[in-house]
Amino acid sequence: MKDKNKLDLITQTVIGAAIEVHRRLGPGLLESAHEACLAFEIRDHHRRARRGRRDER
Amino acid sequence: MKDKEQLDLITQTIIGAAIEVHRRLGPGLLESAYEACLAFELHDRGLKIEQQKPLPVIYREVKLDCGYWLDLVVKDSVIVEIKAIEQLLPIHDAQLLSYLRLANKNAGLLINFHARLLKNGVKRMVNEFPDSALSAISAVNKVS
Repeated sequence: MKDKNKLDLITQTVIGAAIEVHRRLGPGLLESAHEACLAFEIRDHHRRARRGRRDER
Repeated sequence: MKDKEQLDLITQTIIGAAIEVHRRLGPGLLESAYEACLAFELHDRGLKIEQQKPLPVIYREVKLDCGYWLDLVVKDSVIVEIKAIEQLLPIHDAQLLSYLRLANKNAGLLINFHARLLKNGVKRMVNEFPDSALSAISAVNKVS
């Protein structure tokens, strides 16, 4: 099990990604459209975070 | 992009064709049957149509596959979503609004062929500013 700080970080990331999707798409669309775009945002966030860590080294 | 009057004319023609199909077939058939007959009627009226057109979701310039298909696209501008169900629900508005936004079209029609009177089963939806952040301002108005 992950510790509390890690979990907080994950939920923060997901909420941030959800806000970004909502900002771009707005309300009222199908669940599956929001889902696909949220998955994209979370993966994109993960990619950027990894790239950031690599650049720091 | 077509202007408002052109769009009104196209949606009027589609509603007229749908009423014709409903008059001839009545309610109770499968959605696919209504779709085929409506496509025939629209073709007969000289309108360019595309049937079962795949709709990719473009999000931040990336293509995402949601597996959406448009029942009918008329004259590259009006999306027609055909239903054969007890009654239209808010989820069907969400479906059509999603299609309008994602396909970047201005006008759409939801047509429920199981309505006893077709005019009670038609909903017209407008996505007025497809290219801007203002696209959230969309109007749903029932055809009376």
